[in-house]
Amino acid sequence: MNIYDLNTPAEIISYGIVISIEGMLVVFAILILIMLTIYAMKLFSGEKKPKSKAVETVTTEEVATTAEETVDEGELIAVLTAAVAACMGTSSAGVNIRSYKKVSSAWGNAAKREVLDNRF
Amino acid sequence: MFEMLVDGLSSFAMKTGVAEIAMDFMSGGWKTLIMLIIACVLLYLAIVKQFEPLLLLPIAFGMLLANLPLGQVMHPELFMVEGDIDYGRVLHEGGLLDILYMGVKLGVYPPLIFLGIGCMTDFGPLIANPKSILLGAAAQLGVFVTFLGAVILGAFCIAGFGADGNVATIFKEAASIGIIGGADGPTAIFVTKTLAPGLLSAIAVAAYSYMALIPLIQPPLMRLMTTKKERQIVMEQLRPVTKIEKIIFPIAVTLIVILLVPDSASLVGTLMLGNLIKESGVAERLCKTAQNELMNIITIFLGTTVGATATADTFLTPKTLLIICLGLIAFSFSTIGGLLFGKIMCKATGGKINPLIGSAGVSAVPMAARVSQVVGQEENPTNYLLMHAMGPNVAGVIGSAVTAGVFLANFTGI
Repeated sequence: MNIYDLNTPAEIISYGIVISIEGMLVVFAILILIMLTIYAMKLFSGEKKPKSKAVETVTTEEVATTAEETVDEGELIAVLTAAVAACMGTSSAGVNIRSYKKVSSAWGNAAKREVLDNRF
Repeated sequence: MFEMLVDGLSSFAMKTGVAEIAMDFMSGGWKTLIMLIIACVLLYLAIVKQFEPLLLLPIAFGMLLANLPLGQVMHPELFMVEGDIDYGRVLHEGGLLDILYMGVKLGVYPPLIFLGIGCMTDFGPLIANPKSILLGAAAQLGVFVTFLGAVILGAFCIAGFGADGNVATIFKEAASIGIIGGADGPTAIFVTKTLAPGLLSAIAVAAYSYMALIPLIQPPLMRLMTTKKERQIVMEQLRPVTKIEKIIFPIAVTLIVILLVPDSASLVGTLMLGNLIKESGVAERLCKTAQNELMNIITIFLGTTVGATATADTFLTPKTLLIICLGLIAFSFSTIGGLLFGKIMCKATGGKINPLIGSAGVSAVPMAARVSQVVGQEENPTNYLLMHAMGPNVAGVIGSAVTAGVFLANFTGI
């Protein structure tokens, strides 16, 4: 179709609408194609994944138990003792946990936010 | 002796720019004065308000330089010719900025900037969540809505659009204005220098100013378009992406996009080359140069020369005002497009996707993603949307490059 055949405003606008719809469709089609490629890529290069996933779940579960199972105090105190000792580089024999308190996560959030802000 | 001195001084005075402005103040000198004031306002915005200073500062200063009379650093008339540009003449008669402007005119600078952007972009979040690429497509809505708006203005010859009675010009100018909605400066410049070089400065100023204003433009729309509950959605953590995937990705995208939309070759090609240089990890020196020195050099050349195309005749027109308005519409509709599609995806996945990441589909990286993060965190302080929003954000870059290719394929050479 020759663009110079368009004379009336109505013709020009309808051609504009055609181009807009065509453009939107092309953009979607190409990005969908890229999306499918990424999925395909995952299939071919995703061999090692089960291993790393397993490790990850174990670590997250550990964290979850220390945070939630406050019922089992002995275990929690043992973990805290070990952590403090490891931090100070001394033997756990010299460390006594007298009391512990769960702090609010505001500091944690602030730290996370700062790390993200610095990175981007 | 004394007379000679007076003669010398007066003839010197007549050769100054001040005399030039004063002599034909009524016939055009006042326009020059207004352009100088506009340049200073833009400098103020860049330096004091820090609106995209890396680009707005050179643009504003280029504008200042080019509009000082008799400076001879820029001759837009060498480039604004019917038919082919005589580059031999540009080299012989051109000033400093004319020579540098050839890089814009020949389409060299925007792709080189894309090379640097490719080196800085991490497609990991996109590869981890491939669905988010659709948001980058949806956020091109503003481009086409604005294109249509500008076509309507041209069809009815409003505000100087379509004034030359050439139908092709209407579409070319509309495409250049629409592409502002891609929120991608280099792409906008690349399209405009090909399709509507006369609008280059107005479009560049509009695109970069609105990119700086994204944190003001987007949040109200985001709150309007989404419910509080949707904004509070916490998304699943992204899976780690392997190095192989990151290396294959740029190669695959290059093949797919350039085979289908050859006109986007220089933009997508350099973007992906830059990304491959980064992800391959074997050419770290090149990566550093492309994203630092090379990109900075090109930014200076690009900014100054694009600013220098803003002469009173091309800039002080009702068109410029309309471009500024249409640019805002373009940005808004792109945001809305992304958010709407985000809402659809939210429904389709049973509430796993926070629609706020949709607005990051406009390609201003990483500004738009940061805005998603900030708005999301207002509703739910423990919510971290940034990495999720980076997916649509980098998809937006690909999306707007493809959009540019579509426009160029349709309107180049007609």
